[in-house]
Amino acid sequence: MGRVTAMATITQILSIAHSGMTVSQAQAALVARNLANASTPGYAHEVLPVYPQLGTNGVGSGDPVAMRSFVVERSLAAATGRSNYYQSQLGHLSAAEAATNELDGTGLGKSFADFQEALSLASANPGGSVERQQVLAAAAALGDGFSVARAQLDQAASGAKEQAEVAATHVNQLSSQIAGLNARIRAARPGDELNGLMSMRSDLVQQLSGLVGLNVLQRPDGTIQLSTSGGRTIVEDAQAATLAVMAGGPPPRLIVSFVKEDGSRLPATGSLGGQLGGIVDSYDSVLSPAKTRLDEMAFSFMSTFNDTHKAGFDLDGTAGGDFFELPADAEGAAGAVKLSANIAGHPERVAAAADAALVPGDNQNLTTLIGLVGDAPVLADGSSLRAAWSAVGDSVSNSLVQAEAGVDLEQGSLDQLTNLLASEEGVNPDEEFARMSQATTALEAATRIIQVVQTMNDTVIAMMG
Amino acid sequence: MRITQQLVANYVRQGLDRANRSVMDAAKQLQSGTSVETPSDDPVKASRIRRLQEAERDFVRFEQNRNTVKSDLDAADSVLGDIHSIVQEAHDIALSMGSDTPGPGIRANAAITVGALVDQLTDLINREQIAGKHLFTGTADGTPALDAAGAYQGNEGSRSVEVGPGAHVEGTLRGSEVLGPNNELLTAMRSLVTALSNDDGVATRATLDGLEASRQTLSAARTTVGARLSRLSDVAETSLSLQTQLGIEQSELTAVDVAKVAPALSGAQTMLQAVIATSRQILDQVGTGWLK
Repeated sequence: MGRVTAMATITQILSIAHSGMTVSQAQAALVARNLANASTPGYAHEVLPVYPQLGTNGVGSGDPVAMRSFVVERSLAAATGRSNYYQSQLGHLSAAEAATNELDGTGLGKSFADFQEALSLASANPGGSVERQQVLAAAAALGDGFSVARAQLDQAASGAKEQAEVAATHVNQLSSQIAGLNARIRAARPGDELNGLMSMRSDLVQQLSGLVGLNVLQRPDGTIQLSTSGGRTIVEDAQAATLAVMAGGPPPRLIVSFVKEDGSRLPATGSLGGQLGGIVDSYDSVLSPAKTRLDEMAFSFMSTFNDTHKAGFDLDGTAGGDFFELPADAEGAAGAVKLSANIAGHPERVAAAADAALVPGDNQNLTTLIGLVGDAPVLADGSSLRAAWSAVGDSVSNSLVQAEAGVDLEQGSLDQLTNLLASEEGVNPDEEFARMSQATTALEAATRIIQVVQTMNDTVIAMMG
Repeated sequence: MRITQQLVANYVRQGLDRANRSVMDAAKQLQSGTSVETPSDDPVKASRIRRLQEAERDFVRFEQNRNTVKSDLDAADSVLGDIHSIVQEAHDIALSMGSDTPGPGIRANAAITVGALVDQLTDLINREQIAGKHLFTGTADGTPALDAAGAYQGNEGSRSVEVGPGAHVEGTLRGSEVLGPNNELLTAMRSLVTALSNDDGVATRATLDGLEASRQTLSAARTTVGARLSRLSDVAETSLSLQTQLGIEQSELTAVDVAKVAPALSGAQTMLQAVIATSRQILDQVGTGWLK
């Protein structure tokens, strides 16, 4: 009886030592995995739950657990969305600012000033052919100024639209991948496989949150639901919505819609946030209105200038004709400011005089025309040309300042959250080294126990003869 | 706080970003030579600079107009001076020939002299100025003031030109301001020629009032021109003073404070070097420490 008990005890000891060796090996493997993924985006360091085995008195281990902090991840996703919202606006608004920047002494404002100067010079010598030619040359240059400013604003707006489309495509790719991972996570076995899938999904969610503002809802089955701040669902279980960007209006704007499987579309509600939201908002609230306003300026100016010009008299005492060739409507007018066929190449037809009897030296009509390029109300809302252009510039630069301030502000919290997440989820090589030492020591100890038990076993067998 | 490999990498990246931004900001200001290169650098300053630039352009425009008007008025003043001398000479001749002393031969010679003065006068009045303009025509400055018969062919218009902010000066003179409302100047001069040719002392004396009135009209015209030139001068002086102020204000707004930016750049560069050195040390430790 005593012999049986002794043999059972030795087996038991061997079993305990074996369990220790198994856990130590698992621990060492986990350390290797953690270190290998130390720089893998979205990876959360894993720990091995270890517990005493009941009955056998050995040691057991559970599935590795990823030390994921969902609260920090959600906060980081939100901060990334906010930061990218502003960051995405910088490029387009800077391009628009280049179109409206008057500080370097160039641009449309300079063209206004040059045209006004030419008219002013002519007002001092209305009969002078040189002065009249300068008026036509400056008017043509004003047309170029309008055209260049329009082209620059158009380029900024087109660039924004293209980038919005690229961002939407990227959103669709990421949301599709996340939906696929949701399905795999729900079916995955706990442990390395589940943790790996969740790491991949976490990284994709971070990327997606940079593109569009996200609300993340964790489901009990391990899947997540992603929705925009306006409430539209992007990912639900294994289903992903498809986003499409298209031009709409009037007024011209970008419309982001969620395309359903049947092809029907639901428009996005509220600000989308993230890179896509930033681009769409800057397009809708700054770039597109700036273009529209510039067209209004050009159209109203040409129309008013023509009316005033026609009220005057040219060098021969003939009533003035159209000065500019007025387009059919305001849309695109800034890109089509040019002299009318009536006056192009005919400086003598500049209607400088207000009274046919007082030609060629009367400058009264020119004086009125000078005002139209200056502070006279020209636009429908009573704004002058200068004031309207300044307001366009102010709108662009103020939006740019807001975006820069937003980037600075969000960068601080983004850095803090990134660091917090890295601290909580990241891999600490020192910790891993300590774990590795621990595992190695445990392995050596278990090996030693087995050797001792082996010796004991040999001794008992020898005693039994 | 756990110091993880990602955290260290973040610190390194964030430190480099901050240091780079500081260097770029300081270098940008020093390179561009202006503290406000784009409106978004400082919207408030930019708005003021833009207004100052507009005002400066207006001043340049007004200065050009002043030059044109001054040129016209200087020419008018010069011609008026010459006309005044002619009228004075005719007046002197009328005075000396109006007595009973001169005989027929002397008056006939005087008539020839005054006739030449009339031609000279007409020539002066009709002389084409710079850029083909004519004087004393109102706004009809494309044609001479007097036709071949001596009739006024200008108009009663006037050209007011903006020569400063809100300041206007007339750059033209009407014929009536120089010749008299009904061309009395030429009439008096021609009457003198006729009286002298007729050897008529009484008629010669009778032209004195007309000549004197014309002389006064010319004096008044010269006073008008002088007053306009004086106003131009005043406006020019005020404009120069304002332009100087604008220039000072603009340079104050845009000037880069080198004494402030240069140390900032130096500090930022030092910070960048420190971040790079520290990062290298940290990465060395983190990357290889546990392997050792």
